Amino acid sequence: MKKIKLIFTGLGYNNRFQAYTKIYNSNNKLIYEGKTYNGELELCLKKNNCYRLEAISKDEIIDIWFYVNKTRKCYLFKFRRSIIENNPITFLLTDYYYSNLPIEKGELILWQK
Amino acid sequence: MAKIVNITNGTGTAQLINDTYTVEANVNGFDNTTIDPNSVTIDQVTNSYNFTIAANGTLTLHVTEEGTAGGTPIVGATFIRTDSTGTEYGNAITTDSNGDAVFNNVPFAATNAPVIYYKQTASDGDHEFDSNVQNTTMTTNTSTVEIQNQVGATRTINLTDANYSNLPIETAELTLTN
Repeated sequence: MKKIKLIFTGLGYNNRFQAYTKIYNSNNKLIYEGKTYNGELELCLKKNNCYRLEAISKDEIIDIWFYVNKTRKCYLFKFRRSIIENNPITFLLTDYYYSNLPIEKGELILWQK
Repeated sequence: MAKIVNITNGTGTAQLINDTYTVEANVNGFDNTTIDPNSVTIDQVTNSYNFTIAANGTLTLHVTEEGTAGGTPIVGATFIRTDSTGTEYGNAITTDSNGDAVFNNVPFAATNAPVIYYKQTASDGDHEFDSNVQNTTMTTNTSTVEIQNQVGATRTINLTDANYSNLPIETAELTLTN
């Protein structure tokens, strides 16, 4: 058995939302159920094994398999908050050489990584 | 999947989920590879994100008495870039001994080039100038605009005796400082 930490992002400012989590082994048996604390939870799992994570936060679900290897101690999972939760975001585009001179017309193209 | 943010007069808005994004620019007249930053992380707390972009053109303002390429150069005339309303941006430029002042890093494009606004803030002290906002566009990476600063108009100065009305003073000097 090995102690690992699961870290969740997208839980809001200062992780004000929590995630309710369940972890199943490769035989689909529930082996852990609990709530994150400050966006994290720690538990002991067997090394070199696959597990399924089911995590729910504010109507968003993560349902994913992950593998616990011999060396890694932290595993990161991201919640993508609903766009309804975000206020409109303002983008300001100005001239690099003429400080604060607004660009009259153009486009910014954003690609999710 | 790409999210396009339309920019008008320096500002655009969009609704985006919290995540990290690669940023590309499509701005006519500017070097799109200079978009800075080229990556942004949208988070729960921040609702405004600033970017800059650069251009590579060179605009020369050639100032002469006659407003022609071969005219008498005006040295020491100053100009500054503005927006359409006259708000000033960047550092002022000054004409050299050839009458040339240069704005570097200005936008240009073969079609639909962005408008470049500027205004003259001073001449050399002996010539008149137009202080209104001017504008031009550049279709190539270098361009010259001819600007006229006319000699000040001839004025008549009268000096008479304060106690003998209209009695002219025969010889004197008046020094006028602006």
